[in-house]
Amino acid sequence: MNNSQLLKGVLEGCVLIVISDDEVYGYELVQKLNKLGFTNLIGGTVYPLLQKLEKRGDLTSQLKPSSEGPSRKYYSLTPQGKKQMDEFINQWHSLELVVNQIISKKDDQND
Amino acid sequence: MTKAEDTQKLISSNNDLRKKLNPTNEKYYSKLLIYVRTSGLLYEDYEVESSLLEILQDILDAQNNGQDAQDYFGQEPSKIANQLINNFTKISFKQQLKFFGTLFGVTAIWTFITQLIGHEQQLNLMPFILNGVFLILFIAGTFWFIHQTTYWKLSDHKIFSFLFTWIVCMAVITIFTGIQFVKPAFLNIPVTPTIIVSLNLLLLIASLVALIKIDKNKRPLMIAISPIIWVLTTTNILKTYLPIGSHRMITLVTAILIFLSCVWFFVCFWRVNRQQK
Repeated sequence: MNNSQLLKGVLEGCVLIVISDDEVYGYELVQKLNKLGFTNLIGGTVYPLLQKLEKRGDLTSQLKPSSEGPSRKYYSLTPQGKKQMDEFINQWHSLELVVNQIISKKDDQND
Repeated sequence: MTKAEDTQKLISSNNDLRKKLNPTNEKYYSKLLIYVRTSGLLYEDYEVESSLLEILQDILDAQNNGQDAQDYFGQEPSKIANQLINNFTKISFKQQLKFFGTLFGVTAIWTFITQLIGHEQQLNLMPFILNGVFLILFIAGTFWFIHQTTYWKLSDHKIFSFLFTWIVCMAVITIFTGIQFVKPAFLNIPVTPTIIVSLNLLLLIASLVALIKIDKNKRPLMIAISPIIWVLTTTNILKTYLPIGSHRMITLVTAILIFLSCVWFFVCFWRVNRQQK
């Protein structure tokens, strides 16, 4: 998958969903997203996104001691972020419906 | 802990952790570090450093899992860094004033001492202003240049790069020296010997107080520059009282002491550098 505008918005929503499960630090988040199917996703895409979401107030971060070396920055969802996430899920469902309808209509015509 | 101390802690953690990177990753990350740190003078240090440390910790995780920094963070680190830099918070107007004020203060002390080395019984305000502006432009210019050339080399030819650096250095020295002679008459402030002695004495005492009172992490810098201040202020005071005939002798002794102070300054820096390594 390439780095298109469409993907960026979707990725933002997915990040919120993944973080809503449990607080994560950067590398952990990238790995989780990789495993979930964003196989080509790199860290470089995630940091500016996390920074943006934190600035906007959707995420909050906390330093927590780690087993090795200095404390790590863990991100968790704020109530505002939770609202954003719910909104994203709703929008996704209605968009999915519309897009699927358009695609199946096109397929019908081709048949 | 104050925010400045927190930032200092982040920087020293970063210095420690960087040693764990393998050579390839170290090269990749150090470039990123320099690029981000030189992106501007007016960003919140804490935010910049915490972002840099976070990325370093994650690159180390990736390294431990057998992934290269480049594969983890991306092929175009400068583009990613630009996105991060654009989102950094700028320091408040009050902090900006404090920052520029400190720079002007430091150059003012220097300008003051050098203006009193001559026999003129007056100070001129112009070099005070110009030296401050010069220092700010010099620091900003150096940052800008390092930032621009981190991912983009001026030239692959060593001779060209050397020549360019040489010309810039010469230009900087010429401008800096020239500034000291820009002294329009209307900005002259006459000073009496009493004022000269009291101001120098004040500076001498202030530098001693600063040496004791200053933050622990800034003390090495104070220890390094203090002898230069002591020598120059003491000379200025002595010159006011001793007969003109002895001034040549004083100048000679001062020159030797200044040279030794400069050597001391560089020895201090070398030691601090070695400790950090």
